[in-house]
Amino acid sequence: MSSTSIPTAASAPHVTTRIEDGIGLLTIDQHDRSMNVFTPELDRQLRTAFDALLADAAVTGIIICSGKSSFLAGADLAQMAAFNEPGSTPAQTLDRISAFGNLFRHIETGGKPVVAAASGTALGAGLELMLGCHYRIASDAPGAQFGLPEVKLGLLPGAGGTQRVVRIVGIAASIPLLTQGTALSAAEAHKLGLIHEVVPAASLIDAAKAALRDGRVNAVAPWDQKGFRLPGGDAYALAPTQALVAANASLHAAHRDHMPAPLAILRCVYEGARLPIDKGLRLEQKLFTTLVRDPVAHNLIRTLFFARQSADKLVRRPIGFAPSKVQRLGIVGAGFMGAGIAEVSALAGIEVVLIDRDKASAQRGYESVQRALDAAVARQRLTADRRDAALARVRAVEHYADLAGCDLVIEAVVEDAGIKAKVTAACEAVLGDRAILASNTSALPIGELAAASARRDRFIGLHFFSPVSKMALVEVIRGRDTSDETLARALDYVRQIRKTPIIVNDGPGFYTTRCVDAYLREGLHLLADGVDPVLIENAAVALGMPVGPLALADKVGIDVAHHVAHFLAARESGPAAVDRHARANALLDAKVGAGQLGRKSGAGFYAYPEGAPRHLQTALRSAATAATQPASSAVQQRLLYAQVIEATRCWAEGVATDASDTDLGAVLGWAFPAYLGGPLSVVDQTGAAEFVRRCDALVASCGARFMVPVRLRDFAASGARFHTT
Amino acid sequence: MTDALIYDHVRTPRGRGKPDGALHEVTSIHLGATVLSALRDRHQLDTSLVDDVIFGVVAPVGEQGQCLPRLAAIAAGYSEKTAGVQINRFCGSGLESVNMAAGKVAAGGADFVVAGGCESMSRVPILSDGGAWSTDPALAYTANFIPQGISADLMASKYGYRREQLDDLAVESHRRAAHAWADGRFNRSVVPVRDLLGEILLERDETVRAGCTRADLSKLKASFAELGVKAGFDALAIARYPDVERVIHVHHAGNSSGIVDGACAMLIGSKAAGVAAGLRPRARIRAFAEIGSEPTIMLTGPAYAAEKALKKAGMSVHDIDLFEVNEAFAAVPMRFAEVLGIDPARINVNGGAIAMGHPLGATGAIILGTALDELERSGKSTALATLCIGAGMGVATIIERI
Repeated sequence: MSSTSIPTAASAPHVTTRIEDGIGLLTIDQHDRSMNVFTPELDRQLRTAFDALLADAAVTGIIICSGKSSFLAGADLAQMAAFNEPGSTPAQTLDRISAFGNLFRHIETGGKPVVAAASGTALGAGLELMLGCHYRIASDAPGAQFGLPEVKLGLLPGAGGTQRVVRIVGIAASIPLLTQGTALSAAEAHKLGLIHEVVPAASLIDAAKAALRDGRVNAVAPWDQKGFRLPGGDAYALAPTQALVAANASLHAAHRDHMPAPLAILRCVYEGARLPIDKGLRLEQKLFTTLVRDPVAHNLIRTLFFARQSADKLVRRPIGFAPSKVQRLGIVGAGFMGAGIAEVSALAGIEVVLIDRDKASAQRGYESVQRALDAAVARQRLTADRRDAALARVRAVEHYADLAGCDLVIEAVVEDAGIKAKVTAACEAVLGDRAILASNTSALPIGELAAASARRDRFIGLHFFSPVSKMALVEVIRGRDTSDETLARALDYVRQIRKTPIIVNDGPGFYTTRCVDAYLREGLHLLADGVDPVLIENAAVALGMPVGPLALADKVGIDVAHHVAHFLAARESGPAAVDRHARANALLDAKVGAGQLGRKSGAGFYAYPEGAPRHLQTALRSAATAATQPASSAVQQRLLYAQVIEATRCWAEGVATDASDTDLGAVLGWAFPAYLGGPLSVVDQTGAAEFVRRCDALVASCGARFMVPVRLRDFAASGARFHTT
Repeated sequence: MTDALIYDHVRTPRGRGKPDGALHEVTSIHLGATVLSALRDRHQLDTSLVDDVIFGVVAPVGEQGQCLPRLAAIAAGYSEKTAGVQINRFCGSGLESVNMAAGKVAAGGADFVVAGGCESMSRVPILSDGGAWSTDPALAYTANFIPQGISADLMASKYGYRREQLDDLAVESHRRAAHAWADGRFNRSVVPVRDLLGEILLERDETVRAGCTRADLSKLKASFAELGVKAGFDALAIARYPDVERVIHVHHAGNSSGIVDGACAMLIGSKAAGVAAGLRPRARIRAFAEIGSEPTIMLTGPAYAAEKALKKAGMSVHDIDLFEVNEAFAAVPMRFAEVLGIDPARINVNGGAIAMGHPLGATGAIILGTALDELERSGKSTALATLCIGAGMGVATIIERI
């Protein structure tokens, strides 16, 4: 029994080698990370270590494992930007991105049997490394995930994932796995055949050794063996054909032509499955090359990954304040939003005190929380135990005195400054000095609300989105007098309830409300221009918005839209402001006057007939008098630019000061199309000067509301960009 | 350039395109040989005078593969000098074969050509030949593929055709076809199909339903609703046509063309060839055209193809006495009539494919033959036949009775 430990790099080795009884164990463990991630350095070290074992005649089998409780979480996304170096040719990019996949193929064809032993999660390149090994064992550690989520960031599994998965599970089963990026449990992966064995964590390595000793590991992959047939039939057989036809259509319908990754994955499956594996792997690398050279992947990575990660890590939290936790939260206003905030807070272990204008209203809020928790249990999203524990933390009370001891109070009452002022006074009469008072207002400036407070440094905005349980974003609004400590503690609370904060400065409508209003407004402008409402709504969906502006107005309530629209209109003046607001507000006035408030009143811009799908009001369609209807692309541009220009105005006015937060807040807050990255990414990618030029053209053709802020004009002239990647 | 003349045409009756159909036991070769033999026998035609057989076969795989018309000619005992070629322009193939034959004859490249088609949909089902259009992801995306039934529903939604109107057109197709059969209008051109003992397997179109009513059809569920919603095809239709709010599903088996087995052969030749063979021509081919049209809505080609053919002939819509517009889906002839301002009483006067069926490769020649027979019966002069075609195409032919 011999066991030698060989460090494979002089400093900071990512891979260590042990040889035990003729079996070479390669352990991956990157000490500067909590989870292993595939980097060029790891690639080099792994190849060197592997080749050494190949060359060692005493080694008859190889095990690749991890020194962490997880296996390997994926490729390092930071390198993706480098792959899309300006001026590089597709062939150069192809060469750069091929390294990992070529290594995995080398492992697969090295001639010695290799077992991948996964202590836990293997995602992306981590799972691809496993798939390049001849035998795959996973531990039964709870919560371990196995999947290829690259599609979610506009990429594909380019290190052999598509080609090996399709050759293991067949065309039909591979399509959802690859195009949805589904994460499987070890048991599910085992059932599909992606993993050969699931064993208790403690016996992982022993099981790997046993597989090698028992001769159960063939050093030749199935697809390298003569007579290999694709499971389930090739692309000409019936079931695979039907799966392809359905997937082509449903993915195209879902993402239109905005997302190149699902299409590229379908091509990997359709074109790659009938090729010999080496040609299939090369095809996959070429398709990966097209994706990494496409701005969409970089937009998704920049916003959905890096911006989100930074926000969740609270990188903008003021330094110098100890981490805090909210033990007891008070919520004033137990309506839809208040109850939602209570629900997520109670689930996070926070004691919640609910108060409203009377006991009955508070009790209704409590019952609303109860119903929501019960529904989650019924959908098997929550255990009954956790539901009971959460509910036990919630109390509906009658008197403000019961808010004593709260670390944080969130007021979620009606959007009326007078009523909010009364609430502020009532709360501050009973709260301790250190307690923070936050408002869930969506538009009233925090500074104005804070005027009613005796301690403005402890006053802040926490704008939640509806429905609270589903929406990850909290827009944290810093008033002029809000202290750094208050901000830090407010961010801590957002993290405590596992939501994602963006930080903006004060102003009417802050950031997100202004931009949603801008989108809605432009829909109304189009209507006022005589554009067919069907075209407006369809263009919005074609752009990538989840619903059209008219449907959105109906959904939030035309009275709500009306209230916000007039509020914002009153806060500015001048010809651009008039162009922005006048016609749109007139349309909203007419609707409110006619009692058509949207879905809740049974009619708005749409009619909602019983038992039939909603449809745009016929009167609206016949009023579409423009002789020549615009092309969908022109309508899309107006709807997009209305949002982007509003975001740049927020930036110019110092409300939205962080480019990452600005883009992230758009995508998470109002479903701005993620493939575009965010409003500021749009400006970057168009080129700020070109963006300004296009806006000027829109001013000429549509109105002054498309005027860009002066600060953006200067920005463009200086050749600046909002993001560096 | 010389005139291309139609001398004669024959067709099999159309059998139900399912295993319980009367022609299911008949091989495709035999179907094709049946019409070739009938055409030869009724004229004692010296087949060595026939240069070529051009047949439409839309699923040319299995027993319909390997250049079926050549093999069917051999099976029918044609002269070995008669060549054969299989073509595929989807549903328009039968008419395209006529047009290609006319082109060969007019250019002096051939003296006699038998055009037509052959399709046993019960033995070689539609889509047996595979194809990339819906399965190749890159192509499906670029072409914005949706299945033809959803294209038909898209047409109905865009142009406002209600379910009742489409069902009424279907009822009328059956009524006209039943009446035409009862009146003996198909007697000259339909030849029975016999089994190997010589017994008749089928002598009339099998799928005509004489007493079909709107109430009967109203019971049928729209065929493409689930597909449209679940697979996302409705969304793709609207992506291409953003002026359509919703695709309303109105087509079903009862107001769409029937799936059937059938074959057709039409003898086309030059005047000189006819004189030498002692044959009297029945019609002159005045003009023909093919055209590509928008592939997603797919089925709007006929009006464009008809206009193109009319222009080539130096004619207008008003110069045409009879129209045959293939009833692939009820919305198709409806749209054709609307675009060109034609009275539906002049379209498909003896019924159409909703009643009698659409044997894919043959239909185009069948409907032209139907028009010719009706011109002679009624003493009218000119006819135009046209069909909508997969992937957005149209084909049209104009004939003039001699």
